[in-house]
Amino acid sequence: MDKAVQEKFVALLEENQNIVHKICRLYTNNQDQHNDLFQEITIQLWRAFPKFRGDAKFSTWMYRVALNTAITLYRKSKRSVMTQDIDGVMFKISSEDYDDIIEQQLKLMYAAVKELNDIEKALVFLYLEDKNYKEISQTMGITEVNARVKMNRVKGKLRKILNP
Amino acid sequence: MVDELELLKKDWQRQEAGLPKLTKADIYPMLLKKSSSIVKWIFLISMAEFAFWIFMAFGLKFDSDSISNVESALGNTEIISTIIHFSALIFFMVWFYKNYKKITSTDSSRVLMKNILNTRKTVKYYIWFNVIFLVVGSTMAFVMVAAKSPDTIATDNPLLAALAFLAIMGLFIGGLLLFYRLIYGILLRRLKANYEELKKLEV
Repeated sequence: MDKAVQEKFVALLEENQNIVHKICRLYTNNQDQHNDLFQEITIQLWRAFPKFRGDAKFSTWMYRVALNTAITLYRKSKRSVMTQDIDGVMFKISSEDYDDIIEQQLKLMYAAVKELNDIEKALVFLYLEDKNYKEISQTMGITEVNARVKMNRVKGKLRKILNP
Repeated sequence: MVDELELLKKDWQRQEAGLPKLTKADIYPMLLKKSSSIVKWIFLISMAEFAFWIFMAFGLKFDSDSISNVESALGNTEIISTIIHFSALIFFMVWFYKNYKKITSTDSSRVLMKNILNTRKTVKYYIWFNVIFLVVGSTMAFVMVAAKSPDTIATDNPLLAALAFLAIMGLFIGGLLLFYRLIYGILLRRLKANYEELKKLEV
């Protein structure tokens, strides 16, 4: 493929890499898996790049391909699924910003999100990324009403995990 | 709870500082690596399946007296079955390729999952076609050989011969189905579960 296209793609990915990293954190449990998923998402983005017409924002287009890779295309290797390393690599909460109670609460929340299934994680992810229900429904391929209903159910599920 | 989720949302936006930062030099080599996506695996396994059945249909023809006895007993039936098998193979491969081409990561998750499962379904139909074709074909061949050149069958007892034939068929098909279940069970379990989850939302 054209060198200029490749340069443009790499620049766009470098600029928007946080989206991919956040998805990797949500769907994997250690750094090896994180790198592995990041690699696969990069390949899928690169393959799909010729279809990116520039009429949508690169980041919006990226959400779809990256999430699709995480929940559908990516094949987790069996042995690494077993390891759970929530405190280690996962979400680092900067303690100077919060008091202990909030910090504890956040830790529990992140752990609870990790317990959700792939689809629920995707919904929560898009919600946390401040996407509206229209965008969520288009990314997932469900109706807006159903996205809303499901999101409410996920909130309920999180509540249950937090207060058993 | 909503407050907690809002708290999470705020913290979520802050985490960016702690995320890894890859440079362009890190990203370039990634573009050259090979994908290990589920679609690639389905494609490779499907190709192996097509190859396996081509081998089964056309490769296992070695020359021996009993084989030529069978061939003379079957006559034109074998040519007809070869033509049917070839046509089916081409039909299924075109169908498979069309479905495969539909798979794109830029679709919505639901459409993407559906397209992958459809691709897989094509191969499943092909397998079923082969199994049924094999059962019907072998039964017909067995009956014809038994009627026209009974010497080919090693035993004089027709019941014993029929039982042996059934046992071999049963073992072969059972083994085959188990093999497919294992391969696709492992490969598609997560995808199927996610697809069901999304489908449930639309009810």
